[in-house]
Amino acid sequence: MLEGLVSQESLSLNSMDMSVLERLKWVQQQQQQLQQVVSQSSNNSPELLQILQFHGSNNDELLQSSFSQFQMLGSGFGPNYNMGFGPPHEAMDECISRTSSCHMEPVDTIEVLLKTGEENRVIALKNKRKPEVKTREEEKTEKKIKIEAETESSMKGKSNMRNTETSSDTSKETSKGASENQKLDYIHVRARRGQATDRHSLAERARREKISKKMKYLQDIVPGCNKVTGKAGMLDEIINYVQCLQRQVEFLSMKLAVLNPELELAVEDVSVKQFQAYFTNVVASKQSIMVDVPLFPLDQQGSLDLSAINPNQTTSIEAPSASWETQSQSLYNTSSLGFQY
Amino acid sequence: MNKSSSKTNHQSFEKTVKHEVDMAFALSAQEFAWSRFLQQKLLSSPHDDLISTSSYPSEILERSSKKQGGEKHQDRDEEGGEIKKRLKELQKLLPGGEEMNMEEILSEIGSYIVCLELQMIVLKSIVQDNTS
Repeated sequence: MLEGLVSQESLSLNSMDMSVLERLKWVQQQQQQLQQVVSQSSNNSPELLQILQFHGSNNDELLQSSFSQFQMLGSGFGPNYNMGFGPPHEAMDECISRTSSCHMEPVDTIEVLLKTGEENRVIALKNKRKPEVKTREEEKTEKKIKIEAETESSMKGKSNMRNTETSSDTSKETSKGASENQKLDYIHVRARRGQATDRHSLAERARREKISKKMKYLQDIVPGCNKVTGKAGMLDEIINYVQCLQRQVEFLSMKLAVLNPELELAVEDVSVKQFQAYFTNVVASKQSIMVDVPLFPLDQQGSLDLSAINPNQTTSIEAPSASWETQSQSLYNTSSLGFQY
Repeated sequence: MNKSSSKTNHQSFEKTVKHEVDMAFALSAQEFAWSRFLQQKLLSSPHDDLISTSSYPSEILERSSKKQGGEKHQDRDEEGGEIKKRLKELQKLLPGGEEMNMEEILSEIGSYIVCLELQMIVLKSIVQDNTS
């Protein structure tokens, strides 16, 4: 399970390279809005009063911490992007330690706190429609809107798996007047309506999503997989195909052995290495045809320099100008074959 | 260029050729776990028959017939077992698959298939080279 989390994190990290920029811009926009609202707040704007009343009196310290965060934000957002804002609740610590995207949350909370009541309602509705279910659930009365805003913001910049609703959950909780679940962007999986939202099932779901992605990729590779539905059938097809390929390779190698009885290969022989060099050289020359497969990175080994060999002999299969023996000889003569074998 | 004396047994010669082919195959794609495993295996036991194609097709046929019979009841329960069976088969096919879990197998097998296809193309061209 942990591997699933880690790889998921790497996925989200990879996708974040672009989204970080987007989010930076977005945050800067929010900053501007915040500054506007803060300037209003000094003269007792009704919206802010409403928000303060809504959140109740026991939230003073929360608001204060949020505002202090806001000040930190206002001072210098760019260089402090990754500092991890001293989150008010421990859940954030968890987030920050596991995904680097978590530090966006305090920004969003502040932004939402300072928006108007109407906007709050709009955001609440929006987030009701597509909330993110986090791995850890806490119920705190004062954090309802904050949480909703978190979900909205975290929706934007991350590689999310599915966008379905848990409207049943949210409607129940809003009717109570209690807050929603404490949402931590931890695994970017959405729970469907009525599905369990605890940690294990989320991890399970994430794992299953990955597996289905891979199966789709395999479906593209293996011909004839499109018609079969279901994992078992597809796996069958894949197995058949792999066996087919293996058998063909074996058959071809036998044919090669038949055709070249004078090759006289021995394991320790130098000619063996030449055969290998020829074979892999040919494989490398086909590199342009197969796009996905990186072939023969012998440069890393440092033993065979293909660029030195290529101009000295005909590498294209379509125009075999030399026989097998002469090609092997030319290979042998051109460069030092420090072949690792 | 030194040539050793030719081997008397044609089968062992075939095995050597096969060994070379496999070795080149493993060398051609070194980023993947299966190729590393294949390389190690080749280096340790040079003349074993690596790819055995003995009984797999029959096993698959058996399974599909069983599945048809069992479809009437407990589809879902059996499906998990079916998938696991197939995964085990896949594990056997993929070099180094014994030590991998399901996700790894799925990711490795994509590259394995592509490399196999490529190897086939190359072998075909070599054979054509030598027949013409």
